[in-house]
Amino acid sequence: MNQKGFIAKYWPYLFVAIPIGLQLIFFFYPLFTGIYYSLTDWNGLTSNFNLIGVQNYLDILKNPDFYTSMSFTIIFTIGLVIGEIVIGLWLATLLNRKIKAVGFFRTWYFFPAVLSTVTLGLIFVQLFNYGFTQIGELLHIEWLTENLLVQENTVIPSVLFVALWQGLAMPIIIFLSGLQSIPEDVKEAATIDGATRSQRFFNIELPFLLPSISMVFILAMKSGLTAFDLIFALTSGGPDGKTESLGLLVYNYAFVDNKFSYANALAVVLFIFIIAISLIQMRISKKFEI
Amino acid sequence: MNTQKQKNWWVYFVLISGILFMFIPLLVTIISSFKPTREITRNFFGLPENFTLNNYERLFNDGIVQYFSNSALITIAAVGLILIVIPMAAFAVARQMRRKTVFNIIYFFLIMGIFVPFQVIMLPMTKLMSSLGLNNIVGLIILYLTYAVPQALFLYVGYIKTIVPEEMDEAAAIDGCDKFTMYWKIIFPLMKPMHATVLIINALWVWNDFLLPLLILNRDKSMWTLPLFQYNYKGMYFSDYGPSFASYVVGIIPILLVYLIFQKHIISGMTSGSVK
Repeated sequence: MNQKGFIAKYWPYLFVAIPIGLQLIFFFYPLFTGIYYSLTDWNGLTSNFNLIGVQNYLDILKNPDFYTSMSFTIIFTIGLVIGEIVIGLWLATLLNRKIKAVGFFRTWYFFPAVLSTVTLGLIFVQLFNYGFTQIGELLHIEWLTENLLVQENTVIPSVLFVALWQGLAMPIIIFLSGLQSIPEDVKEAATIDGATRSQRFFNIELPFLLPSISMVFILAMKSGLTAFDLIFALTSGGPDGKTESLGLLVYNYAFVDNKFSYANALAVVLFIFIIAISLIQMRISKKFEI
Repeated sequence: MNTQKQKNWWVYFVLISGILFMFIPLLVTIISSFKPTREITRNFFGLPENFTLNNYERLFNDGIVQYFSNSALITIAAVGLILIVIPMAAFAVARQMRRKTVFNIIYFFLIMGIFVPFQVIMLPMTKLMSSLGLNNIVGLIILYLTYAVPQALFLYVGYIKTIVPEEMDEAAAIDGCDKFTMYWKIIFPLMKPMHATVLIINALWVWNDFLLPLLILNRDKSMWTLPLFQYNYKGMYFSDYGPSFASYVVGIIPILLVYLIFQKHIISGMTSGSVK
């Protein structure tokens, strides 16, 4: 009776106890200790360390590698966002036409989304190494005969190419379901009024798609700013740090260079950066809300 | 009518090119896995001249079965725990949110993780895991359960609020069920569509994940997952890449089969999961 009364009274707390415990230990504790470590000079190995205030943050601002990494991350993210929205929208409108085998196309356009990013990265390393170079030799295309991943001026577009190869899957399906949610009578009315395809797209479909675009924007931005797996497998940040994303830089400082607290400070900078961009994005999308 | 057909012609052209574009890399990987390495370097796109299973034989000898089972074990255990622990918590949160402010706070507390990029907690978490002696498969499973909470809880709470009426609980209470029995017998089965979504999102995430195993398991070879093995395997034989291609195929084929069987659920599950 007593035990039953306890359950009847406190069951909601019992139900949430495990997730709360887990979040406290494995999420909130690392979150706050991470911020604390960023204010110390700990290398992650020794037992003693000193509080040094914001010194790590000042060092980051003076570090040229940080700016190289930052500019790569920003270029990569912009490329990913624009590519996913523009190409994604284009392919989704094609898939939304009255064509045969649309189910077949939908199935296969989504398939890259379920593959492991690291496996894909490793496959593309081989493709860039042997595949594309052999195509280049066969067709006598000079720039393609060298491995594009090891040259400074071609590596960023190449990484972006692979990222979009996988990254387009989700936006295509999101845009497609957005397009299919447009009421039939609205589309019919526009066709009867004699609107051209591009007029229909910009005046009818695009406004309906704004929520989907905003969602793809957030997804692409988050995956761009925190990119790790793909770059780790494809280039490991090379050549000469050209493609070292912020996510990879955090990892390398902590585990390769043993600059543990410094890497933590860098992660906090990344966090602030993402919050700032999210806030701006929320502002903008609120403005355009229908 | 005729012009319409002509217009559609280029639509098919673009769409089919896109499909080829996606398939050629995968197809080449599968074909290459049956070639000796020398042939891969010489003729990347051709069919195998000397068909061989040698790459798979070496992969087998290098312990692929072990890594495959590690991945399978971790995925099954993590997803099983996720489906046991999280909907239960979500049920309590969804029911109590309107009555008690503390559950609003708990809700926000539990979904906070959505807003924090993984890199921020990655380093101290890795330190914590090794100081607790949890840098092993058990620890990894606990982490997957933890980091699945924000998104899954968010999805479940939304689902319970709109789909599962509160009258259900009252009817069960009249029948004399206590809350645990009521939850497992009545509420849990009602959430089947959401279980499918959460299962798909998390199974794919855990199976494909690379960074967490890299941080937690890299020191002990016997614990490696399939992606971690694929990554480390590439460096094992320098430029002798034949077996690597076989290891990629072993990673792709199971996913392909699962995808072909459950594609409708997977597509809708993953897209609804991305709507946060």
